Amino acid sequence: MNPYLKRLDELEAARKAWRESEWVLSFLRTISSTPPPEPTDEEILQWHLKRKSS
Amino acid sequence: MAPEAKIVLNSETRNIFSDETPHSAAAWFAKRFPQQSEIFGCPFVELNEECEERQRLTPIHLNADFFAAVLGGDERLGHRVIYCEPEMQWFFLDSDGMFKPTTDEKLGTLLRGLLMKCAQELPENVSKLNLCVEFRSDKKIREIVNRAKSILAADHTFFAPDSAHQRTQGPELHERLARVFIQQVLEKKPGEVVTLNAAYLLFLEFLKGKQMEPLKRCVFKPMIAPLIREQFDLGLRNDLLGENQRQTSGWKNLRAMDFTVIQN
Repeated sequence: MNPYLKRLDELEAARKAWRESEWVLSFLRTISSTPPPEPTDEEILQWHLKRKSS
Repeated sequence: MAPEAKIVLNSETRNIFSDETPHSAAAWFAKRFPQQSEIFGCPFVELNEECEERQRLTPIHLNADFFAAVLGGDERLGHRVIYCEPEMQWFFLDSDGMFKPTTDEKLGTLLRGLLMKCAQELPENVSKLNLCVEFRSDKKIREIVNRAKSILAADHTFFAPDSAHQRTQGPELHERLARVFIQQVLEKKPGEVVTLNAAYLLFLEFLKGKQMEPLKRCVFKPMIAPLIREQFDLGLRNDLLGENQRQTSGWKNLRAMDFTVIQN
């Protein structure tokens, strides 16, 4: 598979899992004046890999 | 032809990693929370009615134990919720790795959200009424959240100062910081003296640097003395002479390093 397309696929899966995670956490958090910063593509990929390996 | 109806416990999913939409409410939750389903059983009792080759599934009873365990979170997403029994307080693990307090009401709303999401994603042959109304009622949700207090109970060691779990607020935070303070600011030095008052004022500065609330002196003394003994084998003495030559408490053969250099 083309490495570029592979990365896009991984990124899409990671974004989907991240959105899912944030959806759940949003129910539990209190409203803050400083919302959590939007993660970069790299941060999301790293987060996803960490979850998969644990 | 009269419909054929049977009660089923069907949480089987064809593949929990596939993107395929589960065919029943039980399968939807079991796919999302496989561990909880394995331990606490099928999420719903469902009524399966078949008439003229058409199948209709109606979730009729909810497994409160399963849903209480669901509140513990999806480990695959790094989620975790615990109920700290000694403090009667819920905590959830946020994405920054810190446990933060949350409430019965917020957990109830999360359950309602999950049930609604399930109802919205299931195919038309699944009856949605109980998922949207009965199972989301205040009474049912309260029952599940209360059940979860025992299933997700954690004792006082969960947030102990030497535990890996950290939270944003809690009495053990000062002790964690006191250990760091001792390691970074104090050192054994023969002939030197650190008075209790000086150590306390330095610790207040240290807390300020970490944007933490100040600690009362009456709490500081019994907390710091055993930690200094543990680190340097030095006991708190009450026979030292302070700057004004008055008797004071403190530690002999101990030195406080230049604090401003450490802070920067």
